[in-house]
Amino acid sequence: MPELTYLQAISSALRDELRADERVFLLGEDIGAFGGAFKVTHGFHEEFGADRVMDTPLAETAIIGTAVGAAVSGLRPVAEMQFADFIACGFDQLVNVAAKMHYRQGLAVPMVVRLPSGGGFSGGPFHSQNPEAWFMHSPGLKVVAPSTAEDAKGLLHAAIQDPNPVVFMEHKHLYRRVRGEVQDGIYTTPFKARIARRGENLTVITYGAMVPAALEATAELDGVEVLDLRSLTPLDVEAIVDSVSRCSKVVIVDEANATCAAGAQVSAVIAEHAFEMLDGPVKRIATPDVPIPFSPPLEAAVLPSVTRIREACDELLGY
Amino acid sequence: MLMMRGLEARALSLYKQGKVPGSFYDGYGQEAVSAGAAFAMAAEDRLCILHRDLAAHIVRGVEPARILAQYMGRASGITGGRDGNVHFGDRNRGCVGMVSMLPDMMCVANGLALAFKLRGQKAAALTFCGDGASSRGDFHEALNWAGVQRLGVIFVLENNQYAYSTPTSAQFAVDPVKRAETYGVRGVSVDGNDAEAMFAAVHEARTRAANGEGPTLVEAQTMRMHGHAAHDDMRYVPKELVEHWAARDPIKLQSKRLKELGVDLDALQRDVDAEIDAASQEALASPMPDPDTALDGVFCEGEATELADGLAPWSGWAHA
Ligand SMILES: Cc1ncc(C[n+]2csc(CCOP(=O)(O)OP(=O)(O)O)c2C)c(N)n1
Repeated sequence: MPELTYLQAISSALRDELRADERVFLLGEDIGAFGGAFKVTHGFHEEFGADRVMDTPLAETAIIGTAVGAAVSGLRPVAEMQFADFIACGFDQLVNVAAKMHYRQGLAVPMVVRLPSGGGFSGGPFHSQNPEAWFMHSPGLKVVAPSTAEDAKGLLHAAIQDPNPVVFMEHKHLYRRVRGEVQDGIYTTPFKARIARRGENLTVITYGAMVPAALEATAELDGVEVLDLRSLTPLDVEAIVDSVSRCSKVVIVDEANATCAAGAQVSAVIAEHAFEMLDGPVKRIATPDVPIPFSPPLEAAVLPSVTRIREACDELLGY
Repeated sequence: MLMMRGLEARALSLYKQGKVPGSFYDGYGQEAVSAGAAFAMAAEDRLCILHRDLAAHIVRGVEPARILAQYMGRASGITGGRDGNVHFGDRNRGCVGMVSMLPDMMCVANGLALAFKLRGQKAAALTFCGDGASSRGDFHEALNWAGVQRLGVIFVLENNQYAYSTPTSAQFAVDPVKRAETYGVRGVSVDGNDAEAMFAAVHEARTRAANGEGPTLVEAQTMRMHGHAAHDDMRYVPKELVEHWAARDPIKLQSKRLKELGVDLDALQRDVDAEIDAASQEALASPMPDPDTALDGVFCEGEATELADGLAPWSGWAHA
């Protein structure tokens, strides 16, 4: 099996889908000849042409709205936001038009919106956000967030093949830092959690870029499980309850701002469904409710770190 | 047009009887816009129909009983009670239902037209848009995109002089047709109370769209003759303006033409009334949705559902 970076795995999924299914096309800003801000579609323009790797005007509302129209017509658009942050400009089309379409009139909207998200590189307040919770709060959208190269490819194949609008959170920090063996060809990864490391003394429940951080933070600790959610909508309640039941202590990590984050929902699920299994308070680590600052020391002060995760685990293990 | 006027009148009386929940919007006095425009579209074309355009649904083949059931939130309404009043589109008639946010459907219509273009199909997409909605960003993003990609899309801008209580003078400084042209979208202005003029303008726009000659914005000059919704007495509209347009009622105008052609209008009206009576009875007899189904259908399970073609009573495109 070839070893690919997280970014190459995403490219590989897109390329394989474009080759296999003529309904699939990509649209976004500067994704054509330039190959995208992060080069995810590097070389695609030559292979697939300008119609299937479509450069669009700088118009996020229109990108999402046009994708909706194409999707209900039976195509399979995959829209790229140059940065996740810019989905704010296309938010209405996504949450009002795409998300509610099937419920209202039984019309499927098979489209994917790729959101290069996350901080850690001085992107500042407008190039670092993790807006996944906005979409979890919008019935009709699925939200997935891979943490490994293998899942990045498998979840993207599954997202493109899904008959619903799927928000695909791809973490910029993982693009070139994470690599792993990735199967050739098309395979789908289910929208379910995965145990990244099995343990029995404490579970760290997280997703996206915080999965490698949690694995690193707890590598030396005894019996710490790391549950990688992979999918935020649908949320794998069964896997969460199972992990908590076996480990009894929980640390939940989000890179997103704390209030109403995915981790807040996980915490609520645990309170409702696994309260009796707990042997200590649920601990949450997340970015405080503050815009992501630009300057490195400020940014480092707010984003969850390996050290903060380790400290939280140590503390809870000693509870 | 008669069916639209009659159905809306019936729906309004059902509203007053408390049988239509929520609010009530109509397109009284604007019937020629949606009737004329929809009539010019082919079966395989795609439409996003708005809140003053009931005639377009009727032309596409949506049954009157389902329309009344829709207003009343019944299970047999087009959205099965999931959305109200005019917020619907019958996907089996090639229509994508509007959302409240105006004019979002302009971007969606571009996507429908883009799909035709990518597949090399000679067909067109059409959506309506209000004068007020032309102030929002979606209008500009959609016009710009349609101009850049030369999409086969038709935007029918219904200039009915008011957006809720706001007159066009407080809405824009530059005429919508001119604005369209600055985006590379052909713009034409027509008498929106003249069904035949509407048909001709949209017919031409559709021919161009299907032949790859790009998008058109058709401004339909008309007047909103009722309040914004049933609660609105439109006190803010000068009386003379209403009188001016009342004399130009689209149904009267078309009736005159048809009479000259020897059409029996009384018989036509009797047929329409009978159909509405039957539809009303059918809709009133149909059940409310089962509360146990309120959570169903948030996601599509299984194969993706798609749009099907609508009816196209005017067969002029059959050999196109
Ligand atoms: C984005 C948005 N803002 C506000 C509203 C509330 N609203 C509903 S209809 C309307 C007036 C629309 O005017 P216009 O576009 O001219 O269409 P008309 O109703 O006159 O046909 C307003 C303000 C809305 N539907 N969408």
